[in-house]
Amino acid sequence: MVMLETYTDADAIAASRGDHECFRHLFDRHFDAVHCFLQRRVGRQLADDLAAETFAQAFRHRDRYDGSPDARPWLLGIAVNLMRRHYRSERRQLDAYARTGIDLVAESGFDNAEERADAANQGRRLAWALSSLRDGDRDVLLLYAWADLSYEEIALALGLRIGTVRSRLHRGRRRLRALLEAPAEPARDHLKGDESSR
Amino acid sequence: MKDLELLRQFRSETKPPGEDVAASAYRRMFAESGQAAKSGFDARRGRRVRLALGVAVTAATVAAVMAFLPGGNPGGPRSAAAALSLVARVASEQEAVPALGPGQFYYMRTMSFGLFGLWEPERSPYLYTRTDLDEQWFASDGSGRELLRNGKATFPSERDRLKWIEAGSEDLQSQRTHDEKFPGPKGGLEGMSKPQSGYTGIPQPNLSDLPTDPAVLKTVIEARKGVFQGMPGDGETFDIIASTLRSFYAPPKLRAALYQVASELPDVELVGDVKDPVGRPGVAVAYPLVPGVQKELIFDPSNSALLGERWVITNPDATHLFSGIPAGTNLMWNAYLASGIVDSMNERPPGVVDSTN
Repeated sequence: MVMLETYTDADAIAASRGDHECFRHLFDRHFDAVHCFLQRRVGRQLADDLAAETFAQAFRHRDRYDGSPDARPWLLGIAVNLMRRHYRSERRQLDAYARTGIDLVAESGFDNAEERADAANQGRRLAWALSSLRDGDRDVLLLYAWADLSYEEIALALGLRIGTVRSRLHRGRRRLRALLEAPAEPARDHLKGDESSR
Repeated sequence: MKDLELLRQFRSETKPPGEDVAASAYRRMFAESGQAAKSGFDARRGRRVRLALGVAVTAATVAAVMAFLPGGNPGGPRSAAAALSLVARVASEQEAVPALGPGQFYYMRTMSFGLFGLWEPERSPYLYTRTDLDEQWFASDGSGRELLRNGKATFPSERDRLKWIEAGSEDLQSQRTHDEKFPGPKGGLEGMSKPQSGYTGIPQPNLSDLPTDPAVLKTVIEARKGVFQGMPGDGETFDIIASTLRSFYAPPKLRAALYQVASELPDVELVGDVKDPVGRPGVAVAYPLVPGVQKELIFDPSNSALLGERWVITNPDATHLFSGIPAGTNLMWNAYLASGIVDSMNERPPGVVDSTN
């Protein structure tokens, strides 16, 4: 059997043991994706630092890499692990968005005022829902929805059993749906979407 | 599924990190372990560290390729013709892919993306996209197996989804799996024409007989004979060359000649250093295929591998069908993920993990 024309992340990591700059392949392939995932969770400024630290840690611990062809789950697992110190900050930003309609993390990409208002209203509900999830459930749900990782990859990234991934995802989605469909709570009346308050 | 769709849209407008952020992170990655980055970050998107891939390329050719790339030699070639000529040199010095032994198969793994609903006969009331994973095993007589796993069909907007429902919720072949064995081409190998479906390889014997002198090869391609079927025109010739390069087992001299013929086509433009659809760095050249659409060929200059092809809308005003679609939108792409020789139609080359099972 012959393997041709392609090399995997595992190849790059193995090669980096002889020439450390081979690790740049991982950086080239995955830095933007890891940064974007972190940015959606905690904002650009903190993502700059956490994404850099993710790759620094990955490089330091490359001897522990398990040899999977795609290193993205491993890198995102490191990123989520680093994120854990910032759960409180993430929840605070989500709560602020739900309360005020102003998202400090993302900028709206909508040019049309009507679309912007709809998105903001919907965004506030999602922020409320995400903020209310357990941190571990939110990790699984966002790796699934934002990073497009499979159950197996999430299990690998977070060091969980697949059954745990399934149950966390199921619980997270059930709660998300319930909160998205629920009428706004009395204390959350602002979620009804008063765009003029922005 | 609405919850996931909403969630996927939430904060989806993030911008990629700036070059300064990436450069700083890149230096920090090595510095924290006491290692220095030997080369500047500015070159990272183009300059490649070669890995052992079972290809043999001389040091002189590597030097020539590095000279072409940004950060290697700022005065180096900067045209599509120069880029293609250099990669032709790399191809010509590679080792041939072994011929298939009894019971062996060529294996190709391709990811493909499509934006559907734009073309025929008029634009559909809704658009949708789907990314599929295709695996093919084929013997030297062209027979083999195809395992095609369609990804989830996705609508660019809620409006498209509602229009789809309004139009009767047609089957979008979402998340379907097709697994079938196929016979050799009708009429034997002589009946094999340019692949139309996207990424099928051409049987190896058909390729072995082709001329490897670029001038002669160009004449054969332009005559649209044998495996080179199609409409006349340079755009079609570019397309035929790309299709033929998909056959990774084509003899090195033929691959070199194909790149050389492409380098001599008028209107081929250098796109430059890019990432292919799955994020691998490469170099792209483009040809204006039809008004408003260019086809890009993305290759790895260090080993001449065809990484992918992309069909991009360059001018939405070229046709009313593109109304409202931004320039730069991908109509389609193929990414050639892995290839090799295997001993059965259930086997994959080492390192290729079937994560979808």
